[in-house]
Amino acid sequence: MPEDILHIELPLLGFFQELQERSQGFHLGTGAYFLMQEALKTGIGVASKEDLFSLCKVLWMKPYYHKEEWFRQLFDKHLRELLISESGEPEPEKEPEQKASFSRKSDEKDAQLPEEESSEKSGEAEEEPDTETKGETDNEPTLVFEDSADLQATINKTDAEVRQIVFATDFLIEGDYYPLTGRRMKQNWRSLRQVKREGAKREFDLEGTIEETTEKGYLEELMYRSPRENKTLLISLFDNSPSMVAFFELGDQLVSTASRYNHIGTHEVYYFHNCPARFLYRDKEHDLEESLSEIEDKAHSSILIFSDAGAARGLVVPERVEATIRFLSKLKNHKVAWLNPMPRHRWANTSAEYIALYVNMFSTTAEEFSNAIKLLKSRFKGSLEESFG
Amino acid sequence: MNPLKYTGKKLLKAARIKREGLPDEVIQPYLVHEELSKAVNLAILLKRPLLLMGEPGCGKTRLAQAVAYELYHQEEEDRITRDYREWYFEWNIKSTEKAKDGLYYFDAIERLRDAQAALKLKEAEEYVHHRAMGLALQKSVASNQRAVLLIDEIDKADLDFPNDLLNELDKSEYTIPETGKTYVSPAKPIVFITSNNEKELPDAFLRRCLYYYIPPMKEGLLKRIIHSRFYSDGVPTADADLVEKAVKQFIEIRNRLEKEKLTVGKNVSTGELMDWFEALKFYHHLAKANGHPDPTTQALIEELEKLGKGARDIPYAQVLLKNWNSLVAFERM
Repeated sequence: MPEDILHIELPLLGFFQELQERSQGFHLGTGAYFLMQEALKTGIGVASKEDLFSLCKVLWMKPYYHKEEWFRQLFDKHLRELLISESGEPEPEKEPEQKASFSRKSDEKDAQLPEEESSEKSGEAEEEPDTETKGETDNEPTLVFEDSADLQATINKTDAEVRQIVFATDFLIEGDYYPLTGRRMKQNWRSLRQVKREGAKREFDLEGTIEETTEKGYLEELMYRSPRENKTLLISLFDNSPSMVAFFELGDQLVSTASRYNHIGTHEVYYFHNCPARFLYRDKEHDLEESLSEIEDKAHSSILIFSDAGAARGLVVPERVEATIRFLSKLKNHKVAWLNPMPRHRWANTSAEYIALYVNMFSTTAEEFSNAIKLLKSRFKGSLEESFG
Repeated sequence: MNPLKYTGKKLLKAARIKREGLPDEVIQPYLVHEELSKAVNLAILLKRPLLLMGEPGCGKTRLAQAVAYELYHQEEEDRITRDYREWYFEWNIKSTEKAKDGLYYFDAIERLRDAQAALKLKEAEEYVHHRAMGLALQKSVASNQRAVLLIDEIDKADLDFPNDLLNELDKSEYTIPETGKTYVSPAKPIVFITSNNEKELPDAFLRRCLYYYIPPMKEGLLKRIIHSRFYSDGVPTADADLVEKAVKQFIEIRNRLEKEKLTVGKNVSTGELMDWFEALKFYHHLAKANGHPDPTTQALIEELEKLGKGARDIPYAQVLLKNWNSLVAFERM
């Protein structure tokens, strides 16, 4: 009884709550819910389902987090549940119709095996059951069953199960399924920005002019300053060996989000297999070589390494560990953050565990990625300083 | 007083406003989708800013003016009894702006110059130039007299800007440190914010705004817009055939370019359709008046079915396809 009251007093609460949960960390806030109530009270959105949907869109759908199609599906799902619970059970009403057609069939002794029936049923979920079954009687081979009542029961049961699966709309189209989403990546890249004033002094400097003038006591000359430029330099090394195939998309997303909005001034991307060695490659096919010394020379740049460090294979491979450590020692003048797509608890007893002793290794959750970027921003060189002096 | 409500029906035809000593101001017709007008009224009712996004040229910048015009402009027998311009304020964001810059600008250099040149130094207050947001805040009085403020291209500004902006809008007064004077803002203006999505906007800002995405317009609406804009006077008489074919061709181009979006960069917009139609209309009707049909528009009308041709065959293509990539992409198709 109290639940019913709640249900009426708080319309669309289920929808709102699910929206909050599924928005990749973005919270609408309870204020947004009260806004909805306010609007409903004045009579907006109650005229029709479309009207209500328009209202929900304007109040609750936000750019970057929600795609309209997905939003619509979620809305439809909750509205359907609402209608079902209030008006009794419209769904099961359909079943008696089909039961009737089935019993007609079994009476005619043209029954088929239950599996065939249910697979056909699911294929025709949207269409009129009557016309379809009529068609089947004409074309399909017939089998006679002894106990048609038993068969009927089996058919009904599988049918119900299949319909449950087919009509279940808990499957919503969502793009991001990694804990680290594109949006978080972009936000973190932005924080890495180092904007300095460099280059020829082309911009008029108001504050400088005023200062100069106050010192001199009169306005003699106008002062100029250099325009702001994005001086962030980031070098990313991506492991695209076969063991990383599950993470290629994540890697691509890291590259595209970094370059798309120009958060990073200069972003150099290189690829390697398993362990970076003397040569790295500017392309995924490993055709365009670049010697490691080129990178070593770019002093004081930030380096991001994206690799499972052997955690995906699940073994400790001493040669790999050694080679990696040797490679890392060459980078001791740089700030290095190692991003490992395998979750942290999977690093134990693999090469990754040992490599992580020499370099700051982060897993790809939103929080750890944020920490990785903070390391790259800071003056502190991290573990490399400790490991290699 | 009636509560403020926007119907979108006041600018179905162009509005011509006589301005003293200046050429007439012309406001082109502005037709809205019913859903958008609902969103506008919701924003007015709930006193929240409305964030508008959509392809460049879809008309998001013009909405604020259309709303201000409908709500506030009154004329009686060709005389302005209430000018919408007193209630409409525009702020075009530049990348280095801070929220404070929308409120006012203190002309320190002018004051310095006056002091140096030994001219009569005016009161500090006189060097304050009130800006769009400040004016809008001061003008908004009771709930039925709220000024309309347009904040255009908010994504051009710095990351912290949108949150600062909302803080300023929420306050009921603001002080100018250079003069020490405080200005009161009795009510919140009706705020429209547009974004081109160059950079992403912060979460806190998104939470506080209502959001509407203007989708690419469909055939029916485009035809109505063309009729309102180019044929509302009745002279010349509308050529329904020309309109129909032009709109269909436009939509076809738009769909094709949408598929190649990444290489082309920029798709054709409603604004460009207007320019293109203007060219088409001019030459078409000119030729008609002269007695012989204009060969290029004739080609358009006759051969539009064969939509496999290149950009060169579209009359006045250069008005519609603005960058090299889109021409190339279209040729390739």
